[in-house]
Amino acid sequence: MGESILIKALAVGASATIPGAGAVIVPLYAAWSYASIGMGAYSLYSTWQKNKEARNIRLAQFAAGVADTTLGGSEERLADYIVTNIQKTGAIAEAANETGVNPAVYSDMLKESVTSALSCGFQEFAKLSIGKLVAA
Amino acid sequence: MSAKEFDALAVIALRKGKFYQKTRDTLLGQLPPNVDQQDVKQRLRTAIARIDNRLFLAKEEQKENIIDPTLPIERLQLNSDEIKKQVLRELGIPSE
Repeated sequence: MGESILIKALAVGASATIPGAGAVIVPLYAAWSYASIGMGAYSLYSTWQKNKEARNIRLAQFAAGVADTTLGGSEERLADYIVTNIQKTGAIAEAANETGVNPAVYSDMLKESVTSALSCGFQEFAKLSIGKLVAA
Repeated sequence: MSAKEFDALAVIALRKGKFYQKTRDTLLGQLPPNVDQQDVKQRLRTAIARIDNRLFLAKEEQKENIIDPTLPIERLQLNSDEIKKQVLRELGIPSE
């Protein structure tokens, strides 16, 4: 891919301009289910961390179902486990539908974001909290 | 580590998704017809997913330590230089 074309596209992606005619207008993030995703992820994470035996069983089950070569370190495996199980609850599809993001895209973004946060030990978000909860 | 940290990641991942879709739509419209669009989309998607999470927080949010999930991506005032640098690095393209 051409570097200059890519750089222009990234600039548009990061720009403050509102999409033009024909583009999808980004809606405000209404009362989508990030809270249920957060709680679900935390619950899965806690279980994983607290129960080593159960973790090993799940890892074995997971490894049996997915080619292990597709995954990297333990953070990546844990993130994959979390996101795969949240997907099963329908929360990701719901959030995606409410915000116009493709569910598969959202899953990928969440997986990599969780992997990165796990790798950093979460220090970067220790003080953060969620602001306005907006009714639908 | 708490549920609120995962809440924050859920919001950031959504922002990355929005950013990816906006960038992808612009990029695909400019690519020559002989380019494998599926390959470009997948590589771009992975590269954007791996961008530093903190780059998807508005300055105000970092200052106040509060994420506003209603804030549209257009108003985040993203650090496009750093994002560009990280995406190019992920794609294996040397930056200037």
